[in-house]
Amino acid sequence: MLMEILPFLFNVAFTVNRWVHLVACTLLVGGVLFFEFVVPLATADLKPEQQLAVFGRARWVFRNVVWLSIWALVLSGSISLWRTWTLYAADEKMVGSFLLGPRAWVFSHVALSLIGFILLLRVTATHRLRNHPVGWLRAVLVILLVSMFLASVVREVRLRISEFHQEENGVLRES
Amino acid sequence: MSEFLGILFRWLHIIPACLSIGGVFFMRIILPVGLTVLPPDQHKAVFLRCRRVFKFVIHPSILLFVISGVYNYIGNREAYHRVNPVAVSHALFGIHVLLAIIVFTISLILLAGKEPPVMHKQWMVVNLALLMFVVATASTLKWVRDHASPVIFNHPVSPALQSGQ
Repeated sequence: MLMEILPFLFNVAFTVNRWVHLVACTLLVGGVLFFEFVVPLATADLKPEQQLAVFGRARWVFRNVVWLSIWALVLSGSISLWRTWTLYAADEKMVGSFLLGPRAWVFSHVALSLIGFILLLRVTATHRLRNHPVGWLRAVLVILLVSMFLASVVREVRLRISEFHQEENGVLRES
Repeated sequence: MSEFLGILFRWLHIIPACLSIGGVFFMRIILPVGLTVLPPDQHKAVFLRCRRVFKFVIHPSILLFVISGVYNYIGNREAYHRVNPVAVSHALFGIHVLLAIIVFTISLILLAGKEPPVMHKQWMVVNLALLMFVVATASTLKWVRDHASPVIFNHPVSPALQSGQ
């Protein structure tokens, strides 16, 4: 019985984990883009103090979303990393180099994401609004987009290694 | 070249997802709170301007979804056929596409015209929930596709994989 339930739980948990990672990512990146691109355009006709008031009030709510999304991303990312770590190691062993394997790209993805999170918290999770918040949000957006691109590269590297393995051994690998 | 296109189109499928889900969430949940500091007439004017700018974000996003989605489907077609039973991947893919079409339709209707429809707040919430389901089907489809091999389908981490065979 337990041997039947275990794979079921495993499959459900990791699917939900991926969903959490994606949804948190969309809320964070989409929210930053809206804050940086849509709100300044929509409030351009208001007086500067009114613009700041709208920005500050929205920032106050967005801060909670940012914290929640960051925790969700870190937690779900850690779980994904734990699941795929042995597979990454096997891939790296096959290609024979850290730089050609997926782990180099994973580390870059994690490092850039963490930089993006810190900068985003610097803008949203402070008592007083810092100077040039829109400029900082623009920088965060670029960093997060590059980080997402790196995640996409990890996937492609793993697929190529998997195909290579299939050609060599005639066996499919998990990717 | 195909490697680069694979990476690019996967990225170009996630970016519009971020724009649409994050944008809908912001428009429905965060923006109304931000606008409470304004008098009612300015409140409405700013909301309508946000809606107009958001329209320019959503329309290209739908185009990007369709183009990158078609490319990704062509690239993954063989992997979908490897899933055992194949009906699982077909059903998930079908639900994903059907929900996406419903979301596109609701978005286009909600953003059409100069004024939003009467029930736009409720429909925005429905759209947000549907978008979450679209992501859930895509996420499940990917899991099913990646675990197509019967050798590893029912086992957390197969010993053969761990030893790198």
